[in-house]
Amino acid sequence: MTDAALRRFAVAINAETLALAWARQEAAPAGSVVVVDHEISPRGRLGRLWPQPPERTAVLAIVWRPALDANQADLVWLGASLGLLAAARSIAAGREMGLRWPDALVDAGERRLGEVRAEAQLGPGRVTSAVVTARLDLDELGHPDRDAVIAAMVEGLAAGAAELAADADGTRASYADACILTGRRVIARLLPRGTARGTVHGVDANGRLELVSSTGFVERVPVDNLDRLEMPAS
Amino acid sequence: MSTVDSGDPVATAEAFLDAVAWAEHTTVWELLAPTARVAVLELATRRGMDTLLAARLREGTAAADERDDFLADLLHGLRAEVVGVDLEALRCVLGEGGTTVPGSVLVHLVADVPAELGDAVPVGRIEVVRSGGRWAVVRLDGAS
Repeated sequence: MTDAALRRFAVAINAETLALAWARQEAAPAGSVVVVDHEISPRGRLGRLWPQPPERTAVLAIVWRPALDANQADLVWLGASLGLLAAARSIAAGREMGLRWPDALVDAGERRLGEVRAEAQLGPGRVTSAVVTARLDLDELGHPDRDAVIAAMVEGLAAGAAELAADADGTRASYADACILTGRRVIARLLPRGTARGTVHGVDANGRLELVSSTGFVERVPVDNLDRLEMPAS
Repeated sequence: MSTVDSGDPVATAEAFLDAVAWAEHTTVWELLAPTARVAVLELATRRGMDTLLAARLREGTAAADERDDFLADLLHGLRAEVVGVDLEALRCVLGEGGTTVPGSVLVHLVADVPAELGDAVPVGRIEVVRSGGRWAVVRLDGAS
């Protein structure tokens, strides 16, 4: 990575804000990375705050320019999640990890190790750019060297972007394999209201979560419509 | 073929609610009383459904995708009756009065609240009737 494609800040509102401005106002090329050592407002999906303090967080935002139709924008979440998973596996080799649709990286006990957020910019009928923000919890990963973790994240997310560009169906299949929810019954609380229930079958061609009922009825949940996922009591 | 225990009005109401919640579309249709199915199809026809399609659905000869599209709309309509209600926290209790069909009974859907706030809150009702040797659903009403 060249210096021109990486900007590092000691303190900022958050990495996403800077990467979005770079992408929009300066036409940042695909792969441009913003690293922030101390985010004042680390926001994830739905603007929810990342709960860990800056000293135990590795965060970056990276500009993607995927060739996707507008209705496929949710695929960016999948590619980003797979990229973060690859990064975490390279850092903590041998540790069991998985993905929880749409944004979380979790360990075997389903504790959150990291998260992604994808902000897609749409043009006429297509995605013009996307800013992927990824965060890892350094303490949970047992890896205090932030720079090494950042380097692994850059590499992992670049690989995630490349896989998505080369084979979106492959990304979907890889995601379904890595998703801890696959085969489980879940309750999806939706926005602005409503609920969908079913067994997670995977993700569809547009990156939406597919829930299948016992009678074969399929419901698809877009990322933006999800408030939260719950597991039924029985 | 019925796979649901519909030998008791409360159990039938619970099964229906569960089927609506978990999108078990064919079970929802199966648990509806014949009169309710006719009423649903008549309403759908008034709202623009092709009459031949309605006939196929009534006779059970519709293609799977036709049936699924129709039942998807039905499910969404039924869910709209109980939107905002936490279905996991509901209880079904046998009630009285307000029925629309001879011989039917009302099962009230109630949500428990903390004791200091009073009795359980009614959030809807399901009317069920004995039909063809089993209990079947006539209608689902939300509280609103």
